[in-house]
Amino acid sequence: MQDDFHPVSEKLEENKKRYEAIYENCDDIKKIDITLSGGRKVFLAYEEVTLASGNLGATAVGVFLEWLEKKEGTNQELSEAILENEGRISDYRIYDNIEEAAQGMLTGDSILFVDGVPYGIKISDKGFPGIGVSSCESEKVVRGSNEGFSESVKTNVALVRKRVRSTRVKVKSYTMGVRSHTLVNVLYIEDLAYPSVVRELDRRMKEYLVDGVLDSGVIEQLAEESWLSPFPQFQTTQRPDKAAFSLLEGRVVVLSDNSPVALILPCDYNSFLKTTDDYYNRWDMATFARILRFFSSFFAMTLPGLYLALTNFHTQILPTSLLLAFQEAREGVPFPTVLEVLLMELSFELLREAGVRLPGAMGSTIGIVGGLIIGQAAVDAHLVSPIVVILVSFTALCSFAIPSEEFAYAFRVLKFLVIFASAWLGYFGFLVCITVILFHLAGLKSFGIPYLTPFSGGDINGDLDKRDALWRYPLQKNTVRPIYARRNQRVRLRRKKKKIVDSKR
Amino acid sequence: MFSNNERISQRQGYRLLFLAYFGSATMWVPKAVGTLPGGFDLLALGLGYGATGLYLWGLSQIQKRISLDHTHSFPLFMWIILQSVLVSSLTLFSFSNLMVEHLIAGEPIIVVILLILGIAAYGVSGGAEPFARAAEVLFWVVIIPFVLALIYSIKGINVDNFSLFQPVSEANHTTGYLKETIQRAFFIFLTYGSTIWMLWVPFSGKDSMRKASRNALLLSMVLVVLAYGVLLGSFGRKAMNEIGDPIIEIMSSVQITGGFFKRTDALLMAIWFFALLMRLMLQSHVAVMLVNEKLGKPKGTGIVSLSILLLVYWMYADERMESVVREAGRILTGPFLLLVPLVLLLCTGCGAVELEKRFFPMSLGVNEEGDFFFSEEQKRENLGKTPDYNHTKILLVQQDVFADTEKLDYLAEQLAKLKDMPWNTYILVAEEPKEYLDEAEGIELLLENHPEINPEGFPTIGGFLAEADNQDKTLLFPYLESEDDIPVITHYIKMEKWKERTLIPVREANGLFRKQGYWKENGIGSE
Repeated sequence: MQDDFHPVSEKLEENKKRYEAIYENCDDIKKIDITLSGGRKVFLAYEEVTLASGNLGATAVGVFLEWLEKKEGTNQELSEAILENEGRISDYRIYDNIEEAAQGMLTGDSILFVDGVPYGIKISDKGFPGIGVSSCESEKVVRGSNEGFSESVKTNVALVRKRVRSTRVKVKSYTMGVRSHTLVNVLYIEDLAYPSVVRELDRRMKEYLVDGVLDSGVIEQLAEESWLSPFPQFQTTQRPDKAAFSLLEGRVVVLSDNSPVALILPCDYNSFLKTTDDYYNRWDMATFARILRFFSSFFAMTLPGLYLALTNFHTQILPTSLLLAFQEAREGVPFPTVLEVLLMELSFELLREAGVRLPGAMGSTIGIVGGLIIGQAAVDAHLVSPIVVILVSFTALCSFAIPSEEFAYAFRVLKFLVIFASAWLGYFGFLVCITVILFHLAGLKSFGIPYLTPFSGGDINGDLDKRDALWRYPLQKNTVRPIYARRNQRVRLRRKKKKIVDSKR
Repeated sequence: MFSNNERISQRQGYRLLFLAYFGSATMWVPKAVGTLPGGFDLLALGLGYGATGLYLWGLSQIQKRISLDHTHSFPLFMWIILQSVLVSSLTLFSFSNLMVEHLIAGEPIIVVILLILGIAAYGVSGGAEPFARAAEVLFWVVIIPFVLALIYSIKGINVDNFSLFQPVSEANHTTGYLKETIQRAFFIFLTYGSTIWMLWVPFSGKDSMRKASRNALLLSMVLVVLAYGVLLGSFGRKAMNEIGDPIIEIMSSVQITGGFFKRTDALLMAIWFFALLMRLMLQSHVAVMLVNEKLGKPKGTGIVSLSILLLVYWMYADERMESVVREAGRILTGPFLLLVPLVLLLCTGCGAVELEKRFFPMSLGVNEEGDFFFSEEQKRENLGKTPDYNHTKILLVQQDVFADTEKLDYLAEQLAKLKDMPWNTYILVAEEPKEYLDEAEGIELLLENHPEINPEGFPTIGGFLAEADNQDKTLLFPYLESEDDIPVITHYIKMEKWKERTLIPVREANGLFRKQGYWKENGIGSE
């Protein structure tokens, strides 16, 4: 795949010819010949719109050209001056071959070739267009920052750095995608993250050669261990504060250019049910919300199946009055209960999907149309019973309470398995299904961390992880980092030692 | 990095072993020792648990001195595998029977066997750690409901059933009981001992596993003894012996206060589902691991699962072993592998009946022959529907049935067959039961809100069936008559030790209720 490299020549015409050959039929690449007042010639190339339009003097390239114009000396002296950045460009890079220079331009920067200088110079300016830092739409919180990641990896790294101002925050760069050459940054705190996790991530990212990486989702899918599992093994976020918090826990964050979604690893079941405002709010609020989310995750998967098992197989469990109410509600409904539940669940999934795809106001309208009109009409037409409508709505609410969309998706899908199993074999089928899912979760790992941590294996960290699991201890008691952090760096909070003041002085 | 799927912590080992012991021990041990007379049952428990503890200690002493390296000793290697497959088959046999009997009556047993074996194979295929993690999570899911259910059941205990140090009249009976006591103690030892091995082979170098085994044994022993006490107190010795699974039956008496759930017995079956599954997995894991070592993964799972399946199937079929082996081989290797789930799906699922195709009779009558009947109104309104007795409140028996012991025995036999009839259904007597069949809820309230007598004093189907076996108590059956078209208790039928039955006035019955301790403190009372 790689072409041969041609070294940058001191003759500008040669460089220009090779460069134009590389970018033949690329009308979006601007190639400009500039003659400076001293007669020195310069060849400038850039992707259209990445350099400020109008007067070059207002740009970093313009500043460099101005310096170049004033610089006197031989070609050798000029080359050394450029190498030593006497032109005082904040973000530049030197290339010694044409091909790499051409490739370097595609990061949204400009390439300069100077007659008599055997180097290509990359100078950053405006860069590629993109959405700037805006509010995070997908992960709303009641309390906390509203900044969201943008689509520029450099901006995103800066947003994280802004929150963790430590020299120990390391940023490793990768270029992924044979054709896309997407810049990917891996962030971690050097003394907190396990080196083995960083190495393992490095290995997995280099394991595949892929055409293009257009979003972090591609990295996630290529790097995950159990791709058959419906449960995600990377956590995702569009919030810089969440990414920063994860770094402080000893986890690793992956940022990809052109993607506002960061990947966080390792992860476990518990991490998907936490939100950042759990830590900004008081412990009682956070605990209540956590417990609610845990139970929601269970019911989002099991409620319809449990209903089927109880009404079709084990009516003795229900109180008589409730049972008779269910029976009365089902009078006149032509479909078996399982079909009724499936129809409503599928209808709801269709509504959800339609609501996501439709723009703006139409999306919310669909929710109202679907919920009120279709649901009510279906009940009035005796196609479904009101009980099932309530059941499906409650199940949907439970799935909405799960903070992570990817995680909630697993429960939405598994819910259908539980429905089939319960409809087939009642409570026994329900138990079989739940047990299989439990075994699957018990065997799942994310970069060596068991997925059911801290509910299983929590004694590795002295069971201290349970202080921030189903409930959240008060911050003063939450003194240790979770199991992701290195063993000798677990303490994250302690009281300051009091100074003993000598009263006799 | 952190876990390699074959390394389990002490806590995981403890919880896994506890579940493996608990499920089978609560089911088998109380029934086993319950047949012994008072005193001997405690002796059997003591000897059994003592022997188990000694075995555990002896094993740990041996392990400290000698490395149990199974790979260099072929006889030991084969013995471990054979034992593992055999005990796993026995567990699966009991497990599937239990599920079919109490949870999904009417389903083919092979479906249940395959599903359970499938889950176990899936769990074991990932190594010991995944299912140990699952056990760690399930520990509280099992133990909390069980303890709560036991606590709830305490109020049903009758201290008369604790016949401690029951005198034995002849010396040779003592010798006979001693022999039986030792047999029962050995049974207890086998129940535990066969599973203790299972964590020792893979983890025999671990001090943590010794501690885990000891703690698991202690906790399960405590719970089993408590369960035995509750069962004995609730059912009595003879009845407990007659009931198939007394620990399961007692769960049907558990209700969650507030009336949200009427009965929780089906839900509580999850306790034994998880516990027996863990036992099965623990027992089969060793064989899978050893075969994998010799033949490579994942052959161990397949070979062991197949062996277990064959053995279990043989236990049910009991004929033509060769064809069974051939049949299983064909199913597992041929294209039917993909079709089996579909075939099973099409041929099963018979246990489900839609709600609107059932009717829930609140009352049931028994005529003078001892046969059941519904009211005319019930029959008319529910033509063609399947009766579901799970919500039956009262059983109205024609008084002539009580005049004849044979008819009573017949009634008891018929009631025992009605699996879904709740055991807390009240039994009343009337000259014309059909007159009161439509008043079921009112009559139930009459008993439950009786101003003077505790509802536990009124006979229920459970008490009736227990008395059919034990024949050692006095039961007082309310006798109904109409006063101004309202059903009223005018007399009681006193049944003493199943044999003698007399019609007594309310005043005399109240005195008997008082003696039995069912009189409410603030009742008006009689002298």
